[in-house]
Amino acid sequence: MPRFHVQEDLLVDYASGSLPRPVALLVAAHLSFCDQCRREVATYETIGGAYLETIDPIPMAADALEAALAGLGDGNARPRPAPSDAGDARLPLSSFVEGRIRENSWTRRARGIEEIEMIAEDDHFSASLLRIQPGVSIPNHTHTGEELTLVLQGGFTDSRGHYGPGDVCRADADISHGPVADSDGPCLCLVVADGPVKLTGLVGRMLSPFLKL
Amino acid sequence: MSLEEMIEAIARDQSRTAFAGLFAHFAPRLKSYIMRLGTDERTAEEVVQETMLMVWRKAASFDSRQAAASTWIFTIARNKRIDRIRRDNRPEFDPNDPSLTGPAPEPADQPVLRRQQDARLRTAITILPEEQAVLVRMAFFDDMSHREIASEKSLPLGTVKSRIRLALLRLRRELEDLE
Repeated sequence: MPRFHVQEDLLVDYASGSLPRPVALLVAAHLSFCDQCRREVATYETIGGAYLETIDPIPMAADALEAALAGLGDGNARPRPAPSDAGDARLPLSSFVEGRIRENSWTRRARGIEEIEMIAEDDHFSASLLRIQPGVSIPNHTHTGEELTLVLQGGFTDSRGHYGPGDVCRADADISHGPVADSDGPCLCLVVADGPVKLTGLVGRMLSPFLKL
Repeated sequence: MSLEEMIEAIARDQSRTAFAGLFAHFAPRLKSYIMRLGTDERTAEEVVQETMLMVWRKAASFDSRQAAASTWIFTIARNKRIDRIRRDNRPEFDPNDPSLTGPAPEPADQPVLRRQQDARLRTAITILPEEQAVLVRMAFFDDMSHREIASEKSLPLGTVKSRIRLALLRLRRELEDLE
């Protein structure tokens, strides 16, 4: 069970459907690790359902039901597609994440740090996968905007503690931290940041004030 | 037949009568919900049709121990609307994901509890203080993030967050009192 969760307002916005896609991706990934947040989202969805019951209905077109019935076809049970065979890594959101890992190659961003872009900018947010080699440290840095990092595999430590699979690390302009990847294996993270992604990529942007990349 | 039983009848018997019953109840509400989010009437009807088709197809995965009919259909409509306005599918939490750390199985009396919770929630929503009710409604039904609500209402982001938080705490307490 994760120790570091996403903030409540993100769970509300996830439940109501108003999150930018990159942030929704990160929240969905956290939910796949976190029963506590799943329950919270379920509560908010119940509130959404209750609102649906109290809303003033607007009549459908006269032939709407007829059209719906005509479109049903036979039967309703569609078998779920078998889970993809993805080798060793059972990642959350397997179809979304694994598909992109298969289709894209890793781009080196710094020594021991590689990136695959998941979602280019959408509503000012972008999402990337980062693979950080064991023991690699990212120099102490601050952020220009808000950045959320979810651990998918492995882990890292910063001044606030150790982050393992499912944990979410939140950083903004007020927080200075220098994460260090665990030494016992690569750390795979989903990073969501606001603001447009520069050509240098997320880590490049993070590192640039220090390394003059 | 309750709304939940109608979904179960679709799953079990492919009952078109049950589908028609669900459609009569939910389609006009879904249309209203989707139009409130700034969608034109024709598109809203299409999203409702897609939602109800998905209800038919996914009826077998509905579990009345997990959610009331209104909650389940709300989430389908929410996702269908997002699909409509966004290029790719919404990344969705997958309850069958093998990496899930398993939740404790819910007790057998859960469906009754869910329905009680729904009823309590509907009442609780109507008696929220107006300043909270407006913000919760904007968060849930006007597709606005906390940040957007803050700018729309000319309120500090912190105030919006704390008012919505208060409202949600009240609503959640209504649910927890029953657990």
